[in-house]
Amino acid sequence: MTERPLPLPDDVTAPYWQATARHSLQIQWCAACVLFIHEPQARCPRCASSDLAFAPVSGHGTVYSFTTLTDAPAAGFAQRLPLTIVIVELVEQARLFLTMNLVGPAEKLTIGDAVMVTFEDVSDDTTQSGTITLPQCRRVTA
Amino acid sequence: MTWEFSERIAIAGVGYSSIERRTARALDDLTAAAVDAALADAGVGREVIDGIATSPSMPRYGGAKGVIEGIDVVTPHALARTLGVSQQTVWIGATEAMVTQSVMDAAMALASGVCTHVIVYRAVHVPVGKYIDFAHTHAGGREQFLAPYGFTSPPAWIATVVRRYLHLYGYQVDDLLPHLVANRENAHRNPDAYWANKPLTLQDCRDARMISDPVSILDCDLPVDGAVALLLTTTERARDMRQKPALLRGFASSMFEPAGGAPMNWEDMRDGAAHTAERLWRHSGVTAADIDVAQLYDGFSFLIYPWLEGMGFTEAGDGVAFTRDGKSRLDGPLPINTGGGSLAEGRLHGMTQLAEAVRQVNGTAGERAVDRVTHSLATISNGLAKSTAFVFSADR
Repeated sequence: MTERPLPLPDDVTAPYWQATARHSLQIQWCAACVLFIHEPQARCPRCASSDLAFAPVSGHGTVYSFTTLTDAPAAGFAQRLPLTIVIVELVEQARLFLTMNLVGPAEKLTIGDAVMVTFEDVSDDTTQSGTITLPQCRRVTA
Repeated sequence: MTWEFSERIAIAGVGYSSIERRTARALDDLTAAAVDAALADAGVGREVIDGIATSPSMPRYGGAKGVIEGIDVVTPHALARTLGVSQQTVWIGATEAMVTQSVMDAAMALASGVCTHVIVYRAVHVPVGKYIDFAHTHAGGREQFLAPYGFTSPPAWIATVVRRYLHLYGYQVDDLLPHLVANRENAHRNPDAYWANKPLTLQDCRDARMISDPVSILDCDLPVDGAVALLLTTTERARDMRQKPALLRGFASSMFEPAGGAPMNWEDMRDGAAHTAERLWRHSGVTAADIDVAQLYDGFSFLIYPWLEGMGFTEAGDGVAFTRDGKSRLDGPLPINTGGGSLAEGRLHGMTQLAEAVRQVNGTAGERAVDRVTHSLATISNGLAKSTAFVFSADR
């Protein structure tokens, strides 16, 4: 069966994927600016410092926006339709966006809904461990 | 500070090839036809060309494109050979940005005196197979955060922007549809529009196939085979040519970087358009109130709204009401996309907006000419960094 495209970590993004492998969501952090940065960059977009670390976040966020696909965007998604793509705004910082798929039903999904990040281990024979872990999101019911 | 060369550079001619889909005609053939049409429009021949500029890049989504010279790409040196003008050409401009950057580059080359007549062209080709198809097992760079989630297609990106806007301002998808219908009516008066002869009703819009909810097939410009060329020269020279010169009043580029984590978002696109407008008004010495007609980029139908609101033509959240209520029609307070835009002509990556903005000031817009146009606006892309905007003025 054809698989979904998988992430290809690089020197800048490796810590993000190392953390997800431990089921931990860690976002790049500039201590000088007190700023979370995503996607991870070589330099802080505000102060251009390259002295950047990764800090854990709660995994809580709200739905900033979303869309639903009924045609597969790549062959590996054919069994995952309809596919709901959610842009999540993490609670730690305004306009800190993370794109994920929604796990679970999408009925009446509304901008502003609370979501929680979950972790999906996917087989990837290009990695040492044989897997890579994708953050996904699910709705938080009251 | 108004640009020193404001109104001293002009568009003297506009030329389109026939715009087709999966044509048997070679792309360099279509490009030569567009160039000859632009020259004929100006009443001159190939002997005047001493500069050529373009963006030869093709969209990168899904598979290699733009690698076969003359077939799926036309690079400027190859075009010079095709036209037989290599020996007389002294300046070539090639950019990895959009072709609108080539217009700026050509203007500056002309202003500096290094050349006298520049052809700016864009040649586009419909690739074999699906237009958008992420075919790799792994995604690097920015795409490592998007491709695993199926978020690699621009229609899906814009869909999240539309969804956000509708929510923020309390509109329904139905409020977006009158603009599509009015826009197609403009296309009927545009002989270069691919859809010139195809009617479109509100019901057609409601029935249209969804690409990425709430964006339908009718919200996307159609990939086409074809070319568009503009002849640029100094205003002084253009005044001796066949058409009235369309004076380049000013231009601006956006440097506005959006938030990360998503390719596009409403707030940054609107703010990017505002940032571009501020630069454009300063460079060209006009403001939104001076604009008589606007070609706002509509590679996706929704892209007109960051420009409409960000540039100050409406208040925040009123853009959709403006078009829904008919104010952007040819007889309205601000006619928008008077030839039907990219939605009508097909995916020409900014040439549509430039060509129509020029036609509205040089008297060649035919049945869709707006009365008494002094300043004509063209905006291209989505307001974010690499977007561009131009003001053309009528020659008095």
